[in-house]
Parts: sequence; structure tokens; C-alpha cells
Amino acid sequence: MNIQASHSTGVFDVEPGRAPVLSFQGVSKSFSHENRSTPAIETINLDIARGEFVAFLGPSGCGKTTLLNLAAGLIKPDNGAVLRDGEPLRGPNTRVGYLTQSDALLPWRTVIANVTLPLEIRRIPRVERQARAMAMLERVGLGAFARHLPGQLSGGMRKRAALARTLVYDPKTLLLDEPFSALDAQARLAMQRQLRELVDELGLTVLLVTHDLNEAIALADRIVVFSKRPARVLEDIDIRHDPSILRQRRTSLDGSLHDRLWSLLENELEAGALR
Amino acid sequence: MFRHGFTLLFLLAAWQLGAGFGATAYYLSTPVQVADRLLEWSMSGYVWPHLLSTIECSLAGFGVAAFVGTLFALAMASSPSFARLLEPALFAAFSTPKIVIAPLLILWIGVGTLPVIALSALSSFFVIFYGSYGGLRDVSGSYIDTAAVLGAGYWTTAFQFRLPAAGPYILASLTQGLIYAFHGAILGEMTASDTGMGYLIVYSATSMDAASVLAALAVIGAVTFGLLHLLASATRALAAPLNAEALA
Amino acid sequence: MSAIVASPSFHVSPSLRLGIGRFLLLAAVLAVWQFAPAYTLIDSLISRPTLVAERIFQWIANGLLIRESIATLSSVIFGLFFGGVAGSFLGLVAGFWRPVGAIVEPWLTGLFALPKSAFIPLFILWFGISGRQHVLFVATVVFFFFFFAMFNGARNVPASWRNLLALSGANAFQSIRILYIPASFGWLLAAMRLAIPHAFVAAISIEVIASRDGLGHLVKTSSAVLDATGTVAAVAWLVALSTTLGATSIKLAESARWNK
Repeated sequence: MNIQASHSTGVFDVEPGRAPVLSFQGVSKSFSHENRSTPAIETINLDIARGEFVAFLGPSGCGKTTLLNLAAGLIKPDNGAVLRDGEPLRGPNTRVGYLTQSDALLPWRTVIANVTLPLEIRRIPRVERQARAMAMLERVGLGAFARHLPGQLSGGMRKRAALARTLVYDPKTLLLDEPFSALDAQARLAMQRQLRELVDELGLTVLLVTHDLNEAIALADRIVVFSKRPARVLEDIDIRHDPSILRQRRTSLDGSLHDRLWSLLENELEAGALR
Repeated sequence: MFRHGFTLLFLLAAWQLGAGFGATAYYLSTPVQVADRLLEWSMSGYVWPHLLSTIECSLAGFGVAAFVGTLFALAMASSPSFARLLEPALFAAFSTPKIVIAPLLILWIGVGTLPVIALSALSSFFVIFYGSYGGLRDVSGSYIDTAAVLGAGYWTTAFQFRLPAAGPYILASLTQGLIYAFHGAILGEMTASDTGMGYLIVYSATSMDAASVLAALAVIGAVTFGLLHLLASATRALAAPLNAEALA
Repeated sequence: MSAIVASPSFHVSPSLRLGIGRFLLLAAVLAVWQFAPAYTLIDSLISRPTLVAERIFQWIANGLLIRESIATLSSVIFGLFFGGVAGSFLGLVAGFWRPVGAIVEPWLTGLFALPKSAFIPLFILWFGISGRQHVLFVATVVFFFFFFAMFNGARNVPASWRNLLALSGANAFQSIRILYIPASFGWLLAAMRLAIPHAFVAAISIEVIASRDGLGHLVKTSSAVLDATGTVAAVAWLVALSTTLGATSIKLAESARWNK
């Protein structure tokens, strides 16, 4: 099955390889709660190139999610700008797919009706959206469950349905916020493998927020390590490899990388605990 | 708070200015007229006997409802078979609009304060009864087991264990009940009395006096909100030691 | 070893025993009422069950009870419809557009705390005594339940669902149609469950206070001519009707709730 061919009508019309897909330029953001302002992130400068798989790693609650919400255009930065293909982002970023810890499936819609939802909003004709949704459900192995309600599915299946919904409208960039953290270990491994395959096949750019070292190492080409809140970039590490040796990564050569990342995070955790 | 004051001012201004057009002033009156009526009533003392009568009837009705309601709830919570026997009858009485008792009461005892008290008590009873019953019935089994182990009899269990354990629920239902008693008294006065705030509204309406109807409604509204405010602070003060005890 | 205890043949199931108990209680009350000492005072005040039953059949036969019931129920149904539509609409608007909600909601909460029936004279003053004014009053009472249901329903839509729609580029109308209305369905059912009995109470209240027809009017006119049998008969019919309506609204809310 050739997915690439059926998705040739992409929403991207920018020449590939020119401007970064996403660019954070001196971005900072703070939140006020009960008249007290807490900075979440501080002057972040980051470029995400087309086709990169970047993991954002950091202690929980450090503001990684805020970065994704900024990239999705769900919130506005206090200072600086978020650029998409070189243009400042105004309003929700409808060219990205966003998958969070919550699968956000609407319980009153069947699985296929959930997957067609983004296409329905984009006013794509019924026949076409049914066909595209069905193809995507087959792709994630849920073809037989199209007419089920989300409540009838297991956690892993719900997550795959949500992934199908995220990919059905052909976004070229994926924002993933700890997407598999609610799954059990086995389902998580299966989902990670399926995700990496889909990303390679569709040539997607991915921003993955995680606090799981192994997940970052297993999936990403580049790992950005953040400090505790307010988030600053501590390290930006390129770990690009041939995808064919994915399985070896976790075993031999990344022992040292694992240790290095762990010591970085450990320092942050200790610094936080002393406060 | 500032915004609500602004909205109120805006609405009053719109009403004052808008009421001048056509014949609407006759139906709507104006804020100035209503304020004037309120001032006139309080200066001449015309409104006080009516308000006092309503408050007296409310308190009497509430007293009856509180006594009968909590005792009845305790009896039903203490004996489930008795409760099941009476459930349909209580549901029927609860579902029926309380106002239909007013014509019956007029038939039996005539117009006056007695039917007003009766209607006030009836309106208040179901809130107090159902609220207390829920709390009393669901008293934690450990309390009741303790009572049994200590060799407490039926009455001791009911009054020494069940009743205090459900205290917060009963308190909440009583505060609700007081508001219902006040509203029930007004309902009674509208149908079966010749004094009180309810009577005043109906009387003003039949004499096509919009300003008086609205002035009476303003008094009722003020008393309702005053009561709600008072009850909220009283509940906090009363519930504080109860909560502290539960935490200890 | 499992010991199977066979039920003795004379065993009566608890539910049957309960039914018998309730029946006996009702029979006892009716018997005491029926065979109370024959003072003229009692007869002229509370009548007798046989007389009341006779009157109810007589009124059903001549169509009076049916006619008055239809008058009351049509106020209830039309009031529910108009109040429901208006309340749901404004609730949705106030819940969806936060600034509107911030202005409107505190005032409606305040109004809701006031005694509804105290406003009946105002309705009579403004709109006179007619069926239309009954519908208007019932609609006003019912309005609040639907307003708060839709308002809370819209407010409680999870952020993850809102983000999903936003990132698909949904406009306000698409969000409302696809997300907010279906998400408020459970809240609407809860509102129905409360609104139906309150609509009935509102209709009867306004009929007792001032009207030309309806069951409340029947109770009041019977009492005004000192017709004890008629008054009790009308009240008995009303109790039966409101109990049925109350039980139905509970059943409706329970059965229609979809499984999440």
C-alpha cells in the first residue's frame, strides 16, 4: 500500500529545505495564578528543520508542554515569536497534528466518525473523508473497529484511533505531548514502533515531549534537554542514526548517552529539591 | 463586583429612559417611581406590618417543618421497612404542587395566618425531610456498629449516634428549609390571607399599580438575599467545630 | 458442602409483602376516612372517598377533567418548549463566549434564588389572564434550568476537546454543532428531569392564583363554592397526575442517558 501517493495533495506549498518548519525566536511565557506570575519558559531559541524528529526532554512540569502549545498556536508568547515556515504564527496552527496524553476521542462518535472529524471541519466531501479515514484506520490496524464507540476500545486502541485522527488530514508536522505515558509497557513499545515507521514513511517532522529517557533515545534524531522551570535549553544533542539500526540503539552504543542525559536530569532534579 | 454595579446602573438607566416611550411606563413603572414607593412605605410605616406578618408566619412554618421533618426523617432512617412502606405516599405528596392545599385550607379554616403557616410548613417540610433523610440514612456503618457493640438500644442509637453523625446534612437541609418556608409563606399570603408581602403583591397587581408590585418584589428579594447571606455565614460558623472534630 | 435451603411453600417474596403492606395502609386510611363518624362538619370539610370517586368518574364522563387536564398540560408542554429553547440557546451562548457569561450568569443566579410564584402577579398585570400568560410564566420558570444546564455543559467541555477543534480550524458554529451541543446532552437530560416537575408546579400555581381554566382553576373554584367533594376530587386527580409526571421525568432521565 502506497500511502505517499494518496497524500500527494499536501497543504504545504513552501519550498522544502528553506526556512525551518518551526522556529522559536527568543520566546518566553509566564502564567499568572492568583495574582502571582510564574515564568514557564525563558528566552528559548530553537529551530526545527523539515523531517527532523526532535525529543524535548526535561523534568516534569518544566514547561515543555507550554512550548508545544506555543508551536500549536493555542497560546501566544509574552515575548519573542514562533515562526512557521518563516512566517509568524497567528491563531491555531492548523498545519500540525497534536497528540496529547489524553486521546480526546469524542465518546458519542464512532471511531470512524472521530477520525473523519478534522476532515468534516475542513469541509471535505463525505465520500472522500470516509475513504481517507478508513485507509488511515487500516493503516493503524483498526479497520475492524471503525463502527465501535471509543468506550468499547482498550487504551492502546484508543491511542491508535487518536493517531489516525491526527494523521488523517495530512499534517507534515506532529506535536506529541507524552502521548504514550498512560499506556502499559507493552502497548507503549508497540505504539513507539508504529509511530517511527509512520513518521519515516510519511516524511514527518516531529516534536516529542517526554520525560522518558528511553523513549527519547529510541525514537528521536535530536534531543533537546531542558532545565527545571522556567525552562531553558541545557543541551541540544544530535543522535542521528540510520533508522535500520533502531534496535541497537537502546543496547550497546547508547549506554554512554543514557548516562550523560541521566546526569543532566539528575542535577536539575537535585537543584529543584533543594529549593 | 465593580462590573456588576456597572451592569445594574446600566439596566436601571435603560429602564428609566425606556419606560418613557409609549404606554410602557404604566406597565413597567420606572426605577424612580419604585424607589419613591419604597421610601413612602417605610416612612408611613405601611409596609412593616406586612413584612412582620410574613416573617412571623415563615418562622412558625419553619419551626413546625424543622421539628416534624427531622423527626420523621430519623424515624424512617432508623427503620427501613417503615421507610419503604411510606415511600410512594411521600413521593406523591412531594410531587404535588403545594399551592393546591391553599384552596383546601381556605375551605377548612378560612382565610388568615393559619393557612399561611400551614403552606409555609408544607413547602419547607420536604426540603428538610429529604435532605435530613439522605444524610441520616447514609450514616457510616461504623457509627451504627459502634452503637451496637456498646449495647445501645433503638432510641439511643437514633438520638445519640445517627442524629449527631448526620449533623452537617441536617444543618444544610434546615438552611434550605428556611428559604423555602419564607417563599411558602408568600405563596400562602397570595392565595389565603389579607396581610403579608404576598398579599401586598396581589393587591397591588389587582389595582394595576406596577410600582407597588415591583417595590414589594424588591423587599422580598432583599429579604431573600439577606437571609441567604446570613445563613451562609451562620453555617460556616456552626460547621467549623464539626469539621474540626471530623479532622481530629 | 453447600447447603441449599429450599424456600418454604408459604414464603412471600419481600416485594410482594411490601406491596401488600402499602395497599393495606392505603385501604386503612380510606376506611377511616369513609367510616368516620357522620358529623355534618366532616362531610362538608373533607367529603368521603366514595363521593370523591363518584365525582371523579362523573367529571371524566362529562369531559370536564380531560378538558382541564389538557389546558394545564398544554401550558406545561408549550412552556417547556419555549423556555427550553430560549434557556438552552442563551446558556450555550453564555457558556461559549466567556465575557457574555461573566455578565449574564451572576444576575440569572440571583433571579433564580427569588420565589418564582411572587412574580405571578406581575405576569397578570402585564399580560392579563389568558392561556398565553400561563405559557409565558411556565417558560420563564423553566428557562433557568435549561440555561444553567447548557451553561455548565459548555463550561465543562474539556480543554483537550476544544484544542482538537481549534487545531482543525473549526469556526464557532462548527464547534457548537460538533462539540458543545452533543457534550451538553447529559446536562440537558438532568435539566429535563428538574424542569418537568417545576413546569407543572408553575402551571398549577398560576392557575390557582388567577386564571380561567386548568386543574388549578378547578380546585380553586370548587373551594370557592364550598364544594368539598369537588375540591378533594380535583386535588386527588392532581396528585395522581403530578406523581405520574414526576416518576416519568425520573425514568426519562435514567433511560436516555447514553453509555460513555
